[in-house]
Amino acid sequence: MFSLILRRLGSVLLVMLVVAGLSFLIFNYLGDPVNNILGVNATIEEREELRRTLGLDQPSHIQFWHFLQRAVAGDFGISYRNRIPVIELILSRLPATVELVFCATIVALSIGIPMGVYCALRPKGLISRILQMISLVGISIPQFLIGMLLILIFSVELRWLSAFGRGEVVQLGWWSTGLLTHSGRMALIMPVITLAVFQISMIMRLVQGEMQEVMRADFIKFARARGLTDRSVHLRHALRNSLLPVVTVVGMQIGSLIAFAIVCEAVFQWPGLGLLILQAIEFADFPVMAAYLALVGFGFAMINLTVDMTYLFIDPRMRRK
Amino acid sequence: MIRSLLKPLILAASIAAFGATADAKTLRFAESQDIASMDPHAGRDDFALSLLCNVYEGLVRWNADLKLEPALAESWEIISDTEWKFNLRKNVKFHNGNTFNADDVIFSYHRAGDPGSPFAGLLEPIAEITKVDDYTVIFKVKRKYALLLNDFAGWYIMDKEFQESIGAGKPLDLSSNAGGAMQTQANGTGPFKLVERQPDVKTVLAVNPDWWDERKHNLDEIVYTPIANNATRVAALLSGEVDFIRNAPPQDLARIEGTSGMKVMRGPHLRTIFYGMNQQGDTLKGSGVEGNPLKKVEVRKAIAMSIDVEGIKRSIMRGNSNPVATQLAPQMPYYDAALDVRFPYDPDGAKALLTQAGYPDGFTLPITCPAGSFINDEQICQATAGMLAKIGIKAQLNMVTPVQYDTGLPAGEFDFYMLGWAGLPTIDPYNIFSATVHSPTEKLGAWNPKGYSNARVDELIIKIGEETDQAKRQEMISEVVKTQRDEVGKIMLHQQFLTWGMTDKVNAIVPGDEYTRFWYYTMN
Amino acid sequence: MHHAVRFCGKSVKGQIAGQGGAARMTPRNNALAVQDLSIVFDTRRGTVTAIEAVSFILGSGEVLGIVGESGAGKSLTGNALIGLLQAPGRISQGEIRLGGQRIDNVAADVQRRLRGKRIGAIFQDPLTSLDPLMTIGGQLVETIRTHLPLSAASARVRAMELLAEVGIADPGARFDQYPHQFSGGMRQRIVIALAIAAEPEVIIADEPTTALDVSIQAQILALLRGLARQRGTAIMLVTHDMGVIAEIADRVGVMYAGRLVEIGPVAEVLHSAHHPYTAGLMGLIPSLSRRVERLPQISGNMPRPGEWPGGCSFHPRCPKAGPRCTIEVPAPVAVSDSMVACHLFSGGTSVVSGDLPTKEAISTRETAS
Repeated sequence: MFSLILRRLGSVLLVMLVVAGLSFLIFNYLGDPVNNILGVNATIEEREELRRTLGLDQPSHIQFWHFLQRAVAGDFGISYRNRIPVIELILSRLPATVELVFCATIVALSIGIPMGVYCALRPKGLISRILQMISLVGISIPQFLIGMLLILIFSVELRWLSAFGRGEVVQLGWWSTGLLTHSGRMALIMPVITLAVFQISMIMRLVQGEMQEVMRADFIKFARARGLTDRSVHLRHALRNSLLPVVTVVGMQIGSLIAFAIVCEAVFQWPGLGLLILQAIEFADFPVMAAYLALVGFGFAMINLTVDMTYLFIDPRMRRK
Repeated sequence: MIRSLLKPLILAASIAAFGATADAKTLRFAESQDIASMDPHAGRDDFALSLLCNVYEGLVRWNADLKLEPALAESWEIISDTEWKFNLRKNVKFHNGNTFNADDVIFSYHRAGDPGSPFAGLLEPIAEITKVDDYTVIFKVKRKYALLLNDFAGWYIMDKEFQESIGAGKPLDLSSNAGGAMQTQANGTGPFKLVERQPDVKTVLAVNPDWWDERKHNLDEIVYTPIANNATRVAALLSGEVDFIRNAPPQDLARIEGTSGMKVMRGPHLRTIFYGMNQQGDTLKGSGVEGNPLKKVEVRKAIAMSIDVEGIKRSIMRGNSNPVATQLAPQMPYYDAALDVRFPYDPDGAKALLTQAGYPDGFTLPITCPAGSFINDEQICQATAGMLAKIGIKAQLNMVTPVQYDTGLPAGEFDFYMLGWAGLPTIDPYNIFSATVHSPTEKLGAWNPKGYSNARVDELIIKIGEETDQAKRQEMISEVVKTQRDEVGKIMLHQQFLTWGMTDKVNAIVPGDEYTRFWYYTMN
Repeated sequence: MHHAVRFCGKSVKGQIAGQGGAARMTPRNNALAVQDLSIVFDTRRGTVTAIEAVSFILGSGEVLGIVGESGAGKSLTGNALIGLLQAPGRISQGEIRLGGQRIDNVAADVQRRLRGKRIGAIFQDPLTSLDPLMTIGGQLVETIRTHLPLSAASARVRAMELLAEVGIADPGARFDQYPHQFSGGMRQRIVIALAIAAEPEVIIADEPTTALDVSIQAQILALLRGLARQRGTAIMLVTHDMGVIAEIADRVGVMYAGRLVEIGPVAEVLHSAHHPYTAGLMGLIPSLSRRVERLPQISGNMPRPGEWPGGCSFHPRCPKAGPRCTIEVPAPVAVSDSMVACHLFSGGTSVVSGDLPTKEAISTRETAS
């Protein structure tokens, strides 16, 4: 297991390298931040001077090399736009996204799994058909639309919830949380729903499919033959055996949500990583983009590792290897 | 345990939220982005300065009618062609209680003007600054210069003692890892002071009770929230969560105006929108014809005559634009109404001109268009393509992001491009000419690469920068405007309108430079 | 080959001797009685009969073998007995009595309580019968506590005893292991431990040794036989394998196309089969594989449900079929110690005067179309 982790960390480093390298190549096509920093009135001379200062006049492989040299020392540079060290910036935005994604995932799991179980057990019932139809809609509606719809209903018409922001947050060390204040929790509602709708639908379909498969397995038939209650057969045996692929997919989902909850965060002005990277792209804030992409690679690899560990926890057969 | 630790924090937060008294006037203001920093020297970024003007002040400032008036300087006199003496205002306090004096002006000059600072270009004409006494300074300029006061309106004075105490004696150098003290701190002399700032989340300003000027506004607090998404920002206004949004999206104006308790305030923008083009290159890449058709004035005129700018105003701008013939908006000083006469919209005449120029079958024109830099920029480019098709010119649209656009345009990568220019922060034709009309050099014509070039015009532009006599300036400015118009140096479109959405409670002013001068605002 | 033959001769004789030659048609204590059981499937095209009018009795301590080709309805019958018929299958007729009490028409929950408690089941593949994600101890304790009012601790003790009983060495150490940590034979022992956890009167064992190595098969069969002998558990053993039948069954029933065509003492069925189908089946044992997948000597294949011919379902393949066989379903009649459903033993295969096709024959033909 230890060697597994070591091997993983090796591949993590490689992934981060490749991602960061590719991002430097891409930067060439995005434009540069010079105009955003100097303003429209800067002369050609001043622009060239700033490009030299920032090293943007260098070919991208040299820029990448310099980035690597600094990154090894833990210095990802400072944001062109926010003017603070990139790491500090990313860490300050991380809690908002993690809380949002965490809550959305909890909501999605606690709604999606029961729905999936229900549909697996009564695939032909009326309620199942309705749920399946809803989930199809949930999978196909763009997040942007869900978000705007919620805002129109709950902010503009009913005026119950705030259309933007995180509400009041409380600092716990470097972590900021909205979970401890009323306005913070209220602010979570719409973004969480927006993010969760797709996840609920996806988890429901996944659980349903897997569980229907498992329900045909011999050990389920044998569990029934042993006289176990339906509840025990369905939940303790069938559901548990259906969860492995769910863990994988949900893990990957959490990863991509943390990395790319961009639409949802943009709609609700949620001050997290998604909004940060969106603004960084608009500004050509290369240090933020490079560090962010490298960290996203790192995050994904970590999540993969966690998913594997969860496998070990759920499935005893894997422990032998 | 954790609960009891948190209690004071939560309490503090709720006091911050509800502490204001019932009749306190809080203006909640949303904008599409946050300002990059509270440092007014960190970038020559009109967006940031349009908000920071409430916190910091310059020696002079623009009033509600965009006329210069004294601010931290009470008065000034021109001692010689190259020497300006400024008498500083006494009894002015920074927000932290420090007294404003000549040392702060000198400090701010060096902070903003030293090589490497983004403001070095703005303060470039200044050769030297001397302190006469605590409230008198003399600026020596390198050459005769007409626009010192205009420039000073965009250069804000900071507190020497404070800046040095927080280690922000220089504007942040992006190439080093210096920390961002100015992200969340500000100490100016302006009508409002910073009380809270979470970058990209919220900035709270409170009234400065010790402001030197007479208070005309009745605001106690300004809460500024960036909301990037247009639809969400409008929703926040409609739901009553914010009182005021600048630049309401054109498609939402009707909805805002149709909501009871809401209004849209409009005003002419100083910015005029036009197409610039490659008039220097010997060939036009991708045109499918020999040579560079855009070099011929007949071709440029034909393009100008083919664009139905009234149609664009009607169907794309929904009335919120004003067609113009020259780069000077009517609200710009030295505007000459007699010259503001457009070429007639005449596709047939345009076609005839094209034939006369040797392009009876037209050619292919690559048009580069920013997606999101100007109001309805994409739609206008698409409409233009349709109009050009009628005279046989096949437009090839190339949409780019604003940042690609801002990088590629000064680099001369585009041959035909949409551009808008407002002449900020100088608010003088010289700014427009030097950036977009003068032939490109190291210091001038940055936004005119490969573009319009006329030696006489270049010469006039330099003189316009030096001449202080208004009548002489008017004469020269009109000549530049007329020459460029007659030679079709630009294909002019229109002047944008500002459309600011707000609740009925807010009384705002809508100046052509888009600055939010909150000291003129009141709330019912 | 040698192995199989030896089994046939020796063990069968031994069993008959063991019962004092008392292998009879009706066992003394009826653990399970099946009367006239029919199972149909409701499909879009109509109702298809899969099991028709099957009757037999299973006595305490008896091992009843059920043989037949794949698709003859052996497993279906077994599923019906443990109440695990899956929709769209359902019992359309007949009754099942467990210790004299009807269990085919009781509420699902009552049926569920009977399963494991009074009727246990063992399935073919021990590798897939156990939940891979739960320790075998956990599965045992779970089963025990479902049926018996025991505390977790006493259930654990009981589980250990069961493991020991089915021959798992060092139950204490293996209690917390997962199924994948056991070999196939071990797993089948655990399955048996699970099946007998609540000491059921009846066990339905569906191909319990098919998936196992030959050497392991004998051990598992010995274990099952021990259950029958020592605990008096009635075992219905569904299998393809005549060798298995020969080794442990007291009586054997032969199924063909959803009907029980012959049932009788094992020695009689094996050595002097009455029904032409049984005879064909037994003819295979010494010369061919011990598995009865198909009967190549008898031309044709067994018809699937819904495609049964009228009359005796075997008649198209039967070397001795006559005109009567094509129209009349033969009713079981006593022949020697067996019951046989064949016209050869009830008046001949030519049409008997006045005998019209039975109702069942007609209805079978109609529903089959």
